[in-house]
Amino acid sequence: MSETLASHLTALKPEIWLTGTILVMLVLDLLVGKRSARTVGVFGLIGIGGAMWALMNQSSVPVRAFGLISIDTYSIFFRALIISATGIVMLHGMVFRGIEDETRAEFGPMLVGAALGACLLVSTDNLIMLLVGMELLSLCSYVMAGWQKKERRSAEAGLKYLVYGAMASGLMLFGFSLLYGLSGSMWMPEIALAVSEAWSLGDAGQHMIVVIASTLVFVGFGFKISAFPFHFWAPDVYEGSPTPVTSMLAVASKTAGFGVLIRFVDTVYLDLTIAEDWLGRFGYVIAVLAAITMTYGNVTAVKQNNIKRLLAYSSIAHAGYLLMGVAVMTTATVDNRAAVGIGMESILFYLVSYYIATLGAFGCAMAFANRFGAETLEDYEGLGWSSPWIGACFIIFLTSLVGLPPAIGLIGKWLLFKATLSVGLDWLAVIAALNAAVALFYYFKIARALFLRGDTDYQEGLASKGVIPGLAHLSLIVLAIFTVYFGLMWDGIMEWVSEAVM
Amino acid sequence: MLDFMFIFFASLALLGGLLMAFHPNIVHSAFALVAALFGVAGLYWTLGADFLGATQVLLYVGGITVLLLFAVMLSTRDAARISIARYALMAPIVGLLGAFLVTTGKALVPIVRAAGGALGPTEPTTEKIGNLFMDPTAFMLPFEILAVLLLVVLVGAITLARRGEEDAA
Amino acid sequence: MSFSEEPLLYIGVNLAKIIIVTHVVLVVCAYAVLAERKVSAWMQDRVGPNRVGYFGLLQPIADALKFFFKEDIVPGHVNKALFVLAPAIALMPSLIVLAVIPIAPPVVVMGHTVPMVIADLDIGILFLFAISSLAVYGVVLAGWASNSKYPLLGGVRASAQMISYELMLGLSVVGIFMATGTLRLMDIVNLQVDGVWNCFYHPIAFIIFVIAAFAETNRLPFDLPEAETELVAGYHTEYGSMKFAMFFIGEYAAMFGFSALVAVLFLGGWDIPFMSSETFASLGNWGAVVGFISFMTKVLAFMFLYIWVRWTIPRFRYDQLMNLGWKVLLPIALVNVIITGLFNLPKGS
Repeated sequence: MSETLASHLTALKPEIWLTGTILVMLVLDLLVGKRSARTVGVFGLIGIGGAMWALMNQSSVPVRAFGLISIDTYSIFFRALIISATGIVMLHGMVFRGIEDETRAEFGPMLVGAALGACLLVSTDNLIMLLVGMELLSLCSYVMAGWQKKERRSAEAGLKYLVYGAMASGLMLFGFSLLYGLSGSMWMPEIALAVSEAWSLGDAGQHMIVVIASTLVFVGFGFKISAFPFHFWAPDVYEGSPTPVTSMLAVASKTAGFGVLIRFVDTVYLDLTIAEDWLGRFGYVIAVLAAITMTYGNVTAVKQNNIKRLLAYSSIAHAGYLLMGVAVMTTATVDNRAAVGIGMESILFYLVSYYIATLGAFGCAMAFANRFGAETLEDYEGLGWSSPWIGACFIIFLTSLVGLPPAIGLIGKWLLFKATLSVGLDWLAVIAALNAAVALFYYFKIARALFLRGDTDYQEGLASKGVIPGLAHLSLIVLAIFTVYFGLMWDGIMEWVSEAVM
Repeated sequence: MLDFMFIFFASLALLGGLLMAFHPNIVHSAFALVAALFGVAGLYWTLGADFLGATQVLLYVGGITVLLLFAVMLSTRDAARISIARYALMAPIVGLLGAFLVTTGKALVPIVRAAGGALGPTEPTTEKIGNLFMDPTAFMLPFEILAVLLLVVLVGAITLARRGEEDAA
Repeated sequence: MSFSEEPLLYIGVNLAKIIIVTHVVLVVCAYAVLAERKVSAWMQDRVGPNRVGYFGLLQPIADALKFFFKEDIVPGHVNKALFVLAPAIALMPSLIVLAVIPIAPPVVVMGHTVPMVIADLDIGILFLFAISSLAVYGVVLAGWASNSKYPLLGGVRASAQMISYELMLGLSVVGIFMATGTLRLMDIVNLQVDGVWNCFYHPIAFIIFVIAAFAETNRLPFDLPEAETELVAGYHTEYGSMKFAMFFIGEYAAMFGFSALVAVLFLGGWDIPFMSSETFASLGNWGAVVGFISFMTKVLAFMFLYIWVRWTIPRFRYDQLMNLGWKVLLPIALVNVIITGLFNLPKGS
């Protein structure tokens, strides 16, 4: 093996761990036989832990691997979120019902495959690798969404996700081909040069290429992050998929989507030579989309009765909040370049808070579904008293999602608002603040159902359908502790985030 | 000669695509798809991409569409008919998109020409493609990752498609 | 010699090659049918056709005339356009693939060296697989357009079977590409003429290829698409006269095509043992004649194998066919690729 190949491979240690995990899980499933699910799951967790360990040991000095991947603090940040989220989802998938026993062993490779795709997606600045990573993530997600094939809703979710997703990646690919035609390159920095040249020197036709290509590319990314108007798949898919898959989609997939979107915007559109009017308009469009996305998500969530569907709409709303940060990045004027960094930092920080709270919230939903078969708000009435730990955790996660003290969500929102105001998008900040009020309303509905509603008789009537395993308890409580701890001491996260943005 | 080939294959792809999208009978649609894919393969050939063209025919025309047909033929006859009236609304959207694409394409042509993208003498591409796939600084990583993708998706597809243990009895 | 230098000569030579190859193949096909009947009669201790001409030798001509003059019936319940199109699509690929098969050493015509292949493509074998993968459309289309149940079943079976075995076909040949580093059939033959035949280098690939070739041509023991005991006549139940004849010729032309491919890929093409390319060259144009005879001998021997197997081995059951393909041949072919790769590791870095 040549020297260079070895150094390329060293840079990709976490990905190699993930790939190895996939293979080991597949082979183990064959070897162990019928009761393989647990063994396979344990090895999956070990593999994910190994990937995490390899990731943490990666130096913060940027390295390029295989000419297509750039291993920098930014990619380490996103991969850390993705891989750890995968680990937690894997744990939840193992201990909760939702994935049938007979297919549980095959579920692991799917999950890790999706994580592998997401890791490559956020690390690359080459369109080919980007597409391959995105397809790996998407295809595994399609399969996982339809995993409970005997359930009509799950099958529908899988099919819907597949059809819409294929359409979105087709459009994105078309955008890529236009960009390739414009620049003759698949490498983002070179595309950036060609795009800025076409915009500043080109005629109306070239402007049109840039606009159409950007729109089409944004369709692909917008689909992944479920931003308006490409959100329509999310409620059905989130509701129909097995809940571990839902949390994977809401956390890892969305994080990866934002990771690649920010890198793309940062590399291709924030080149200084791009004319001011383009960036202004582009940023304005993003800002409007952000406003619509969050308003749509929040307003629709108010009417929802199914918890998973409600969380799905809330996740759309959070995509809107996160898009605010992208709007900040793209409206930053030349004399206010610092705003780009501020915008990016606020997105990354918000992602961390969103990540912890959403994983936790879906974990709680899984726990209640597992123990009581509870899916709707009515089912939830009084459940807080019968599982006080989980109920309390749920409340903490909801607090963080809505952005109230002492949870980390407050800091995230505060940073986003500050960034938005710093570039003069005051109206967006106002809309976001109004939205937070709406969000408070429906999150409070869950809290009220858990603790303020329902009498003891009703609880007795609701048959217990299973137990909440200790590991699940533990994972949720740890997440809840993180939520509060980082809500009070956010310096560590802040440091990590600003290091990632460098 | 090349212009004629281009027009022939391009119209084959275009007409095949339109027929596929708008034919009410789904089996006919599948055959129209064959024509469209063949047209695309022909376009690759006119561009000198011989390997890509042959692979397109081998995989898409000879493989994937056959599987599509297989599934369509196994479904019932009633399901094989789709209503065209519902798609009539889409005509203006398709027209608009087409207009956009034509404009964009026209703007792209001079750029690609200037970049030296004009057709040179055709030379074999197979070896170059193979070398690029195996070059650590070129496309080795996507190539290997695609292998992982295919493996994982294969396992997933089989898991989704196979009958459960209780059904098999 | 190229089109731009001497267009007329170029077109003339190529037309001549096309006409010769097509006619040779069609005549061989016609007599292969006779051979099939004669061999089966011999194996079953019958006489076989012996009325038309001496030893029944004019039987193919009588058959052809019969096909031509029979009434051309299109049943009322079929999908007319596709029903008529299907036989043509079935015949076409098996004739097109012959374009890339080298049949003899180059000959010298009017001072120009003319390679004895219609189109010496750089991606010859890939082109061949691409085109032959279209053959399934004729069968599927016929089955569907006939609009009746036995043809439909035949069509469905054909699509699954041919897709599956195409995979083994392709995989078995991968080893040869890895060893030779070329997809051009002319180069593969030349390497064998001066070296060892590929069937000795790649015995596993050879066996898999032969088995897959039987399945691809829908011949016994893999003739499930037209299994007469179950499906009347499968996909061509509703066909008669010339349209049926086209299916028939298509099948035999495909047999010829695959036999030629086996000869080219594994049996050294036109090579004769202990003759090198210099020996062929020293014979001048006679070398081409000798080479062509050698090539045809191999092809005909292999076609005889087809016939021999057909009247010897019973038909597989459908699940056996799929199990054999996916669970036996595919893993063996993959292992074969790995082993070939190990033997062909690049030296040094």
